[in-house]
Amino acid sequence: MRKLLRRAGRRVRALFHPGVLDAELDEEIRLHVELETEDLMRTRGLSRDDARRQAMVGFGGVERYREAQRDARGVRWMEQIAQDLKYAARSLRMSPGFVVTSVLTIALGIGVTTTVYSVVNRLILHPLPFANEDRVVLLAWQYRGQELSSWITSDQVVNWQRHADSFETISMLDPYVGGRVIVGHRAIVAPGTAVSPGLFRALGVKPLLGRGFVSADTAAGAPRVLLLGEALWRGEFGGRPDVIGRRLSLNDTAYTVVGVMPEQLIALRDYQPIRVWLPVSSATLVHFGATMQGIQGVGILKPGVSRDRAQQELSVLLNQLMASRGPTRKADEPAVRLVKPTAFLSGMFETGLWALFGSTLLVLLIACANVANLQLIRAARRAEEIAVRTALGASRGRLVRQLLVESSVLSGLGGIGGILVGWWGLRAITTWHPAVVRQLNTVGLDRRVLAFGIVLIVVTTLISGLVPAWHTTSWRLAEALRGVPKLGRMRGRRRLQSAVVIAEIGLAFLLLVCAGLPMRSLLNMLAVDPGYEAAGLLEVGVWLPQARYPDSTRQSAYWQAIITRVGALPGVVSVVTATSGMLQANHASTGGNVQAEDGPLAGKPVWLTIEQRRVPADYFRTLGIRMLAGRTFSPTDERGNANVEVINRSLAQRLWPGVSAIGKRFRWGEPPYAGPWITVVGVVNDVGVAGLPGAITLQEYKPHGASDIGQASGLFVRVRRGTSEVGVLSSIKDILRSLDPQVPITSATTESALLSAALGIPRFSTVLLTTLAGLALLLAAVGLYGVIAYAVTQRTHELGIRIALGARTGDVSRLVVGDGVRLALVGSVIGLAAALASVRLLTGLLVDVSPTDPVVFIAIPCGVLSTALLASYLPARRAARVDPVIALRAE
Amino acid sequence: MAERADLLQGTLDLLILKTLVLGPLHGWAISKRLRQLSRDVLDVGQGSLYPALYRLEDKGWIAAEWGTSPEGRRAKIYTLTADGRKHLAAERAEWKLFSAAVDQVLKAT
Repeated sequence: MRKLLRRAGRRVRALFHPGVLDAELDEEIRLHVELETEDLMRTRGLSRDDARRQAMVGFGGVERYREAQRDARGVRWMEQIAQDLKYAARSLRMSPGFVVTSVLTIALGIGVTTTVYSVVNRLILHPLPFANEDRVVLLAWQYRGQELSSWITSDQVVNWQRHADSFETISMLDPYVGGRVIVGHRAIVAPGTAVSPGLFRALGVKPLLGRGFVSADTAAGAPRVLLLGEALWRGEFGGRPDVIGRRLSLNDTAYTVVGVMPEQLIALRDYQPIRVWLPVSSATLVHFGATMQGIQGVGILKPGVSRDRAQQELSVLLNQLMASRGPTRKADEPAVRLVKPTAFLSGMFETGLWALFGSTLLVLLIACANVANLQLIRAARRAEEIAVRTALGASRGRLVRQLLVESSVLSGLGGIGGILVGWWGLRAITTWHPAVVRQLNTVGLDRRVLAFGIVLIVVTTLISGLVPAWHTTSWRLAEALRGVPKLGRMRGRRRLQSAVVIAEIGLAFLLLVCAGLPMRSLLNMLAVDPGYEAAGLLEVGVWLPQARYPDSTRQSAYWQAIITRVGALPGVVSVVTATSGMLQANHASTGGNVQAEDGPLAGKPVWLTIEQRRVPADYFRTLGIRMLAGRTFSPTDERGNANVEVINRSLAQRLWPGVSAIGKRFRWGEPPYAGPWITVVGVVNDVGVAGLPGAITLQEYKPHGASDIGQASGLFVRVRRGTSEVGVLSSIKDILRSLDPQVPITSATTESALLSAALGIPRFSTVLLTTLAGLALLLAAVGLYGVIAYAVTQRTHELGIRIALGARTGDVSRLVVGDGVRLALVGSVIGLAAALASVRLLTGLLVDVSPTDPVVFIAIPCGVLSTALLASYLPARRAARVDPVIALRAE
Repeated sequence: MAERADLLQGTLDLLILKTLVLGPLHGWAISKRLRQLSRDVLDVGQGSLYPALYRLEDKGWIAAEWGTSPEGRRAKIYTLTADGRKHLAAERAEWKLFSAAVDQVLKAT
């Protein structure tokens, strides 16, 4: 062992201090020759010079021994690499422009790729922040021909907990146990989740403070305990450790806080906030009076047990239980499926993300192509040097290696830059991402991402370096030395460069289309008129607890007080109670046969599905829904039983096409089961789901009676233009808190913020795609510029002759620009074909935009061609300025 | 047998180790003594001497140290290590066996 260490030490010394060892060897050899000389003088009586010559001859070529000696040191290949690196550094230092362009190009390519990869890694590949993430599964449920559901019944979970042995643990997960928590004197809404006691330990998650759950916590009659989520603890309790042991009221029941759990656990619940944790077991479920409650199940597989095997085991147990309860119809028998806990979440954007990742790989490919092209151009300038080195005996393999070392220096530098770009990109993503994708809060440069970055560097080196290296070293010696390669060979080289540029332009074109279509779609969504005025509209959610406000008198008093006080705030125009948010698409609707009393449809009932809302008279004014005809409800309408309604334009047109609907009557159903006749008193504009064109439905509004006020769940507030919406919101919150601090505020936001959040994902993906496409175009333009500029330097001679023979500046420029545009045209045609073949994949992501949208398909070729014009104009200007005298003298 | 494919190299190693049995020597002295001991029959190509010395040092059979030569010059002095001594004994036995075998074959003809 010691020997090994000593040898390793000598190798290292040999590698890093070859000079010292060489010097030692020199000294030894010198001594040898001197002693030999003296010996020869003494024994043979030779003169000093003769003796010395003979000693040298006896020794042989000194250099050869040195080499042999170095080989014996066993570090030859490492020395060669070091030599190559030194050589690469020296030769790269001579062309700084090339180095800067290549390094930046690679940095951008690797940077965006690592950024998007880390998002893919976080959302799809490794979504769970647990050490044993691969073994965590959700027990999902699937009835024949139906969609997968995460809801199963507790009796099944209990059965599996008892009998299955593929699992370390199976836990129940009840995601809806939160509620109204009183902190001090204030009430807040705390979403909560109940889990089986063993789950945290099985996941390897330790409480930040206090303890986790133990099985005694779920025994019948055990003291009620809960755990706080990290965010609630920090936000409401200031992260104080004395929270342990405190008693807390959750939904008017007292619990003792026994611990605080870290935020990472929210991964279990689709990354929705979890503020409190409760224990659950079959005993507590029974205790709550439910033997077959719908819950979710999470399992942790034993190491080495496959998902399939565990699923089979659960199926068998499931079938046994079903069979023991008597015969069932086949279709009623659910199958159990083991899926990732995020399966129900990531499906939303999985396709889009992979598309995005594909796009970034294309950008990287363009970057590699660019660098390869630059290398080819540079190699042409170095043809002589390479030829000389070949003549001096360097083998082709040695030269290819030399060139690859140069490429890897470039990729290495580019990779470091790329990781910086990636770091910056990730910071941009963590601060600026759609709120629904909460996991992106914690996306970062972890081990996996760095490893991926290193793989990218190696791949980049190979792609961008191998082809040029191979190509460069294939030139014939004599041609290169003569300085004028044969025309055919030169043409071949230019053809390769042109092909690379054409491919780059084609890819950029494809990416532009893939970004342009979603952008059009986003613009369409932004342009949709939701039918109400979002600017200046505030929405505040309030949860009136049944226990404190048991009857309509008290509820009504509460709302009246709020309306009066909020209405008195400066800048507030009007206030109404609300029963649901505007953006909720799944509003209560009724379907049935509807009969119009007169008009074209009289006597011919039609089947309609109509959205129904009960609203106060001020509703339309407050929300900014335009009254198209008639009036809103009067106080009489609200008090009495008069069957009057306001309907939307679509419903009016459906029932009474072409005529005014005011004063007309309709009813649900047909005699003898017909409802009462309903008189239309007003027609309002259609209200749609924001950002979703074409989602307009038929809508009817009933007057909001005094008894309906108990249903209210919040307020809509209209503020005057120019008033600070945020300021009014905080005043409203103050009013609510001062009126009754035990009534929790469930939400307080501006309608504009809700609208923009609803478009968060499309906007996010569009911005990313557009950035990528822009980058691709920029890179392709740089590539085109490089090739054209190189062609100009190659043709200086020819251009000089042309100018000498009387060609004008314009002619020369046109000649050069024409070359560039020709390449761009060919690239665009190829890109167009590729785009037309692949846009169908985008259809799912597009709203109101045809995959062959003419605007996109006209704008993009124009953009690509004008970029190409610009990229070739710069070298063209230089070409036009060629001085024929200098150009011709250069030969 | 694969190790002894390069017979010459193995032999040179053996000879160098042998010269060092009597005491530490520097490079030139080793070549001189080889010549003396073989009565000038074996003139080791000095060029292969130094790589061989390095190799033996690397294997730990000899140790090198900068010191002063009997001629009063600064020189790298080589000493036989315990490992080297053991190796020499083993190699010597092998060599005897080998040379006896070659002898046998030559006598037979």
